[in-house]
Amino acid sequence: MSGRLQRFAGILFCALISTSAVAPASVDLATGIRHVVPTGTIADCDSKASAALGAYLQHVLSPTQDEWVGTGPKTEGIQSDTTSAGTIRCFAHAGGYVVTFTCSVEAPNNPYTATALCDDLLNNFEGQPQIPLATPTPPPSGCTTASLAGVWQSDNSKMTLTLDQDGELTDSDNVIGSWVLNGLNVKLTYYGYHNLTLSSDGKHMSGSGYSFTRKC
Amino acid sequence: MTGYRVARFVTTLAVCILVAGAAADATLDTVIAQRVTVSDKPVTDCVARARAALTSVLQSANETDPGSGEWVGVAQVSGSIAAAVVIECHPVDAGGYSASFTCSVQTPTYADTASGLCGKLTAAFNTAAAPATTQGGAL
Repeated sequence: MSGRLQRFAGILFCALISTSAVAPASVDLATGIRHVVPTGTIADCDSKASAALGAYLQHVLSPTQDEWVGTGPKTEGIQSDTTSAGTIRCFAHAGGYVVTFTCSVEAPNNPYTATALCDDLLNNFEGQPQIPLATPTPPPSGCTTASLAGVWQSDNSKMTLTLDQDGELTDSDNVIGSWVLNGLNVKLTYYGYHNLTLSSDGKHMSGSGYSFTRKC
Repeated sequence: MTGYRVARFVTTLAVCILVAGAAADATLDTVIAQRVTVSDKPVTDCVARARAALTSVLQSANETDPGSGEWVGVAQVSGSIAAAVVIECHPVDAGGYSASFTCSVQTPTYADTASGLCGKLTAAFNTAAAPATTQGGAL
């Protein structure tokens, strides 16, 4: 194989890995909610804005006067990537105030849309009923053909492989690799590349000299 | 020669894993920049500056509703929106206007941080020359 062909194959390989591993996420933005309150104080607006953001997001702060921002998801004691954010701004206006709402979420990594978040922030601000936001779909568990996540015991040795939802695997000696499932076809990257076949009940996979049974 | 090929394969694989891993860990970065207040200009000046700043920095500027004074700009990377910003123009009761900036970027997909992007927009807003014709902006 010539050097150029090898380079091309390498780039193609890299592109395939990258595109298969990454869902094309994008920023979903919601704007346009502008609520006029004819009588009220800016302090009242600030208080409601902070409370509304705190109901759905965390790290709520006011970096500039009368402007509030919060980021999410709202988790309790769990560090997670930020996939949603909301801002509420208060403007004095003719004896009352104007309040505006802007929301952004990372789609599809966030379970609800920016519009749904902003609608609930407005309803909370106004003391109106709110529609519960969507929650993340729980990852499949047990023996399923939808995922290889779980602990797999070798049928020929004491070796175990722990496969996670993100396509990574770790063996009992902490050696890492990766997995890809396409239908019932399994590609394991673990001391080289191995093609295996998943059983229809999702409990066994075998091929390339390997045979595993999932603990489920 | 074989050692060289193995080394090159391992390097390629490492780069691929780094690229894929970095993108998979994308996160949303959102900031609101310092509000700009101008006391001696109409809100139409704000609208013109907002549009000019968005066009200059992102080559994208759209008003959410005609006359709303709320302007949105986005930047795409590989066909997906990697950055979205909003500039809000509000008249101030005492005269003049205020301009507010919200910036959201997807990191590390977008090349800049939300703070960096908002800084560029604010700078472009402050230096933009207001066009002779302006539009909208009332509450």
